[in-house]
Amino acid sequence: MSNENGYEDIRLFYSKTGSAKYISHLDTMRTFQRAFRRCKDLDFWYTEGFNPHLYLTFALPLSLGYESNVETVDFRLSSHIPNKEIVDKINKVLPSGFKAYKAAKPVMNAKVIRFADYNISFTAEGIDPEEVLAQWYRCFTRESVTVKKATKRGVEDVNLKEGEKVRLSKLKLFENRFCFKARLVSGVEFNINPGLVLQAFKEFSEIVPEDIEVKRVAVYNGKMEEFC
Amino acid sequence: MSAIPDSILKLVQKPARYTGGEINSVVKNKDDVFVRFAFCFPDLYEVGMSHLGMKILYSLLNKDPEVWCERVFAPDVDMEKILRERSLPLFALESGDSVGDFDMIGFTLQYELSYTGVLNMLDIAGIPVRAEERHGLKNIVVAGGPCSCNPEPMADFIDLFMPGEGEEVLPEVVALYKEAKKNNWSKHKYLTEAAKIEGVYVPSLINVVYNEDGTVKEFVPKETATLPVKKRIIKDLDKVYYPESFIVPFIEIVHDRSMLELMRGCIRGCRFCQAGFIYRPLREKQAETLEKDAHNLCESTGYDELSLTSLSTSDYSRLNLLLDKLIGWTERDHINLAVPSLRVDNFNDELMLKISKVRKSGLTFAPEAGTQRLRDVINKNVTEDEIFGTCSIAFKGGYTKVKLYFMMGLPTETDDDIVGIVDLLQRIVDFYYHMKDKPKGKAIHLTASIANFVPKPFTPFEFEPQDTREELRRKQELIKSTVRSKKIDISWHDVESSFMEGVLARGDRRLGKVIETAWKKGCNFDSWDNHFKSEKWMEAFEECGINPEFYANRKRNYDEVMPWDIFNYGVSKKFIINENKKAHEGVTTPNCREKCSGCGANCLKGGACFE
Repeated sequence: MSNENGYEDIRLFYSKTGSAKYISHLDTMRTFQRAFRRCKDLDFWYTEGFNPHLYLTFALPLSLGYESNVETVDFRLSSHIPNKEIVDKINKVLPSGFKAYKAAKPVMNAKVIRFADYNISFTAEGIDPEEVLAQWYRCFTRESVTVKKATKRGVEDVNLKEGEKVRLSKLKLFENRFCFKARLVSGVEFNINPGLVLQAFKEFSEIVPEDIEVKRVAVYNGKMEEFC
Repeated sequence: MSAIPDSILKLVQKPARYTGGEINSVVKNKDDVFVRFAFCFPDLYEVGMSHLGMKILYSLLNKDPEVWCERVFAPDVDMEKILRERSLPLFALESGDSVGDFDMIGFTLQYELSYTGVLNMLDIAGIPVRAEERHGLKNIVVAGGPCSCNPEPMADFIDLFMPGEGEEVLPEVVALYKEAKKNNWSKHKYLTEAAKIEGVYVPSLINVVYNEDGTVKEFVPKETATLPVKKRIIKDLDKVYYPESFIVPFIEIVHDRSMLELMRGCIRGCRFCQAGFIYRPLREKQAETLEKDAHNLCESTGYDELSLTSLSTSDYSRLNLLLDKLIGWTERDHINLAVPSLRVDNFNDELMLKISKVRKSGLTFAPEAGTQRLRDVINKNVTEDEIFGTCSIAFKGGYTKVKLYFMMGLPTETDDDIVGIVDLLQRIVDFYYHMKDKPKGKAIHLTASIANFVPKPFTPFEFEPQDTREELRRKQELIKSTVRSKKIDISWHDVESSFMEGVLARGDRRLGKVIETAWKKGCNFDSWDNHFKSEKWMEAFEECGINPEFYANRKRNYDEVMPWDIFNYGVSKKFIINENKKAHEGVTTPNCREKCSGCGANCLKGGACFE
């Protein structure tokens, strides 16, 4: 049932993989707007201002070139439809690379997001793999790992070792790619991007990670509950 | 979907330009098709994807199950560098296959400064740029678009041109290609057969003979070729194919919206305007057809904006009816209506009300010249009263940002006309501040864009010398020194690139070697100010022993043979000459609705010209 405002809040969970990873955050927003407008079976709620538009909110922006299994978009429907049907109807209008898998009433506010998990891999052409693994170990077992991070206030030094900012799994070589998992502090207040971790490695070792692949696999609040 | 390796896409700006896979793009099984057509736009994705003609012809060709038409755009500098370094060929977006694998390669020539882009794309594709160096039936290179009204500068590179509208002739050319491929014809056999199709021009079947003074003496057709070649038009726009869907890009493109084509041609006859002559005669679509087109497009794309496009939208005779029909459902579906190309002489309160109901953005008008005398010369039949009347309606309607288009370097122009531009702008500002019912608390802002006039083929000014670069610069300085108000912003066009546009627009096929030389020196994306390399072009002219001023700054006699006299565009030379004479006398010509001036374009329709 729609509430007294005449709409029902829906959070759609979707994955963004394959060449969809080359669609920027801004373009992803536009892609969803257009997809929803093509979806005639759902009664989307529009804002009521002078220039009515679809109400869409995305939780945690995903960088250009990254894949994700755990993206969300919030919107409003003016009439009730079972969640399973919402997913099916939206999948019919989404471009390939986007796949919705769950729709539900939003539980958490996006502001509570504190951590995200990523699977990351890269290559290092022409460098002895043992050397890469050894350098990686040396880089991230230092007392402090400082990198320059662009913020709204300008460029700042950030120590990745301070607080609970970054937790990395061991770097492993798998089918010629170096792979690791990262749990990074995320969200509106402070966000560490996987690129920053690789930048720290590059600055320490002078080894340039190439053909980087990043996939976001989980998003959590401060109590390590999955964002829902 | 994308055949471009991830490792490359990760290295370039805006990778979604190169991935394909957009909604409504057409993917076929290549084993099921017989002819593969690469539709190339010699500019970036964002520019090419905005082009309506490509959308129409792409969908039209793909209706044929035996044909697969794909899109190809010029790679940006970063992508080109990677492709060349790694010896990767130019690819089509739908299949990711190399352009060299395609049977037919079609270019649309929308502006002269894209010519080097054509050569560059062929070269990245690994295809010889010169037509004579391509021997097989495969990789036939064809071209159309407005610049093919004078295709001669590109004659060395293109096998076959289709001047005029493509919806009928292009499928005919493709059908003939199917026959050629089935029967293993030689390229020569295909071209000689294609030359028999009405509206097809094969430059290799024409010899050009020159006079001692460098002008064209005559054209000598060979084998099956006959001259003049008559441009093709669609007689009934309500029956011609119009796409039910547009490809919806992931990245923002220049014209990112649904587009309705209200009509072709223009009733106005502004003497500087090439489009106003080469798209004649005027043909309108019925409002019912347009509403159906609009509905299809909005449903299939999800675009939230619908643009009514034509050369002069307020001249569409059923505009109020159409707007009423559209507003009926666009408001409900939250779709903005964009109504560009309005004229100051028939902009009225009713129209204003309908547009402002939908959305308030800036308003744009084109007086083109600063004085009434010069507006009469160019036949821009707009009076000063109409300009102020329009401004008054617009200001009362809450519009305080107005953009105005002007030109400089027009035939007969004096410094009084130049100063007249600034004077007109200043008086519009003064008019606003003296209005009793002006919008409260809002400042007026005028933006004037002043282009350099470029004389174009098939216009009454095709005989005129373009102002020299020195003269254009002097006039720009004159304007700069005259503007006083902070409410007025003026923008310019680059003089050197206007000059190059002028050279290429009225050039002949001897310019082929200049284009090739300039391209080899690194000229590409010439229409982009940040890429245009004037000094490289000048070196190319020098090395080829060709004087560019011969083409740009020389006055032609009425009896001179023009490179584009190979074509019959409907409008007669007699009419063009008469219009030129009237321009110099400052005499205007009424628009087609007021009185038929007998331009001759009706011969293309086989009947009366007007409606």
